[in-house]
Amino acid sequence: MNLSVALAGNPNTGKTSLFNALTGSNQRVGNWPGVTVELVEGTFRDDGGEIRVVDLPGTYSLGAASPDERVATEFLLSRSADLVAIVLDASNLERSLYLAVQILELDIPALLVVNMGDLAVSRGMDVDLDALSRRFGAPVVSTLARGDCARCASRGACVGCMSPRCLPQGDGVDSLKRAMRSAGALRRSPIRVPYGADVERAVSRLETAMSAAPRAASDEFGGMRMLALRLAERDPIVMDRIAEFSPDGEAGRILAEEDALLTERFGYGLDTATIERRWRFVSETASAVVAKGRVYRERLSVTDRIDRIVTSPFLGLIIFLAATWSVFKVTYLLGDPIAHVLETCVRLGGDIVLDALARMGAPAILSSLVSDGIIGGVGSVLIFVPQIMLLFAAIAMLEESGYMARGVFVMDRIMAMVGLHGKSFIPMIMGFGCNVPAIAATRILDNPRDRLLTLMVIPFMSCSARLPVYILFAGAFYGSNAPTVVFSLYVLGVVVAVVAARLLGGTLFRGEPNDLFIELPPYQAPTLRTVARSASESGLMFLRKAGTWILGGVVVMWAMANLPPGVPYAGEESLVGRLGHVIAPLFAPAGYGFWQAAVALVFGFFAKEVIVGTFGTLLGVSGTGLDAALAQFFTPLSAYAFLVMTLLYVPCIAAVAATYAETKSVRWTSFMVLFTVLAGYLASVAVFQIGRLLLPLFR
Amino acid sequence: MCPVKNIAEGREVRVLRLLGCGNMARRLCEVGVYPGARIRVLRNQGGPVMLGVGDARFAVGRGIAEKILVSDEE
Repeated sequence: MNLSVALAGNPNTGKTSLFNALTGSNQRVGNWPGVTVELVEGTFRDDGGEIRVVDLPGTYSLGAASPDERVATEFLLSRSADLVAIVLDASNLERSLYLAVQILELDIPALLVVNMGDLAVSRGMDVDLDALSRRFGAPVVSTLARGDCARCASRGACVGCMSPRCLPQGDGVDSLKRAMRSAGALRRSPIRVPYGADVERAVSRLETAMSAAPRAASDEFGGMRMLALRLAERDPIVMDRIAEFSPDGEAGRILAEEDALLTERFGYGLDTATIERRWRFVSETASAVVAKGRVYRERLSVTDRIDRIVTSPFLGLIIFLAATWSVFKVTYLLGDPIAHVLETCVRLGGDIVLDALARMGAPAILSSLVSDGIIGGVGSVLIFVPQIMLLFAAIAMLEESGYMARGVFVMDRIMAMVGLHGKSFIPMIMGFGCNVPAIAATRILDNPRDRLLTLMVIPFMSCSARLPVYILFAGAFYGSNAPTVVFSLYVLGVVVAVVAARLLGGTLFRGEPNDLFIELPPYQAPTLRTVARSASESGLMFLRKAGTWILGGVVVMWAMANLPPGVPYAGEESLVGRLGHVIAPLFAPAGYGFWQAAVALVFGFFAKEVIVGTFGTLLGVSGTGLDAALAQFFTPLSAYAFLVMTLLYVPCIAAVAATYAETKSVRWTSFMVLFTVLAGYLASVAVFQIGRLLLPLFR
Repeated sequence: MCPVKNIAEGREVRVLRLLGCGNMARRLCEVGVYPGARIRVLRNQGGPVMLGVGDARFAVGRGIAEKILVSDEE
């Protein structure tokens, strides 16, 4: 008989390493009914058939307050699994048991997996598995107690490698497999948490008020009592559906009444009281089943010792800045040589294709599309793929090691000064790589205000697509000062983001950022699997962008440069030339009021890298010839004004699409476009006009 | 009784009340910051406060830290 098992548990309980040990490489990402996101699932076979295991996100509770909790809760409520294996951390049993009680209350067949027993023993603790099984009315199995780690091949002592890389094998995992097979058949007794007279009274009143609720709905939550209990603790999923359970609003009234009553008596409401009673039960159970020896020690001392340093107010900030700076340094140090190799490949590949086309006698127009359009436009962008992948790999490492949360901790105060949330800096840093995933990453912010505000300033973070434009102009105009000029643009982007955040925070997004609330997970070594996944996902996303928006932009631009038929390619009489002439006067106050610059900016909307290619096309030169050609049009001052515009206006059409995907609002998306264009234009004009006044003073 | 934001670094205190933070109070309870629980103040030098709840570590902003009332002796 085939069986499906959900693996639930707190973060950092070794749940994922158990999952890997159970299913090996038979893993894939799959869709499940009742859940909107994809979950990782794997399978293994035993004598009885196939067992399908789903790795639920690690959570502390089923409170559905965070997206991860909501996914885990919805999955369990959908009853898609025949059995839930609840992974408990033996050395931290109390915390693990809270989630276990909540799952057992849902009345789903469950198996308690006491993991990392070795660690508990090494800390002088011993868990009485039989007592735990009796109290919770569910079978208990222990893993890794005597398991060998396939990685470090140590017996017992390997608990230090509790990272997902560790692959416990042997007795532990085999007995877990057997337990999964037999657990469903075992008789279980429902768990009964003593909630005390006050909570019980409220719960039974709520039960009565919801007696009209459809049977199917209450069964989903494990019966009427459980539904009432979850309502008492104001579970968001139940609160969302309160009208369905109590159409006359009676349940809502009782909830408010009992809440007021308890607040008067205890100083806290019904929801707090319910959770507090559950914790008390968990706490009592934990102290009854865990024997603490004399050698009992606190864990996480290493993490705490590192935290003493990295979270201190000043040193912590310096370490954080150094860490961020290293990420960029390493990205470019490793990425540049690869980019050079790729550049050569693209050029050689292009030559081969053009040669082949010429030999086949392809029409000139096709060769022109391939050489001017596709190779010149898309090829020049593909070169950046390694850098993007490296940057995302580095960010994934920071994230998985646990350091990112410390970054949030030290940055919170600074971000709050400009009206942003501590977590806002994560998407902002990602924005230096590419704005598109950065915009998606704003999802980590719970408060809509914080999220929208962060979204609106991300476009000012100078993404890697803008770098080729900086490099072209800096090389052509600033000689040995080129690195300083490029760096100044990155800084300017941050400054504008800060000013914009303050400005918008005081007008459209009034109010304070949400208070910080974040877990600081214990430090662990990042795993290759996660880092590689993040790198390949970002690489693929960038390739998709290259294949769609950039290719599209390049082809449209190429076509407009060839139309109407018969005009010289990309000449003043072509469509692009005419378009440029219409727009160009607008840019005269910024010092570059000629049509080629206008066209480049218009096509930069597809993707900023296209600006470089556009100049190449319009000026009829490429490579080093472009420097000289640009010098005929720009002065060093107007070139800088142009770079400021390039930095600040709409990142690219993919970023606009991402903004729409995240906000689902045409209004906010148009606002982002107008706001950034306006900011870019005003800053560019200001640079040119002020520069013109000031420059003579320095001569 | 005083807010946890006034507690010096390194001290262990007992949670007494969570003042009207609505969803945040529930969230804190669920991770183990419930009335009656013992927590440790690991970092409190302006900016967010780092709390030790058993083996777990949480950072809470000062606004939240003001609403977690704890016993100020022990």
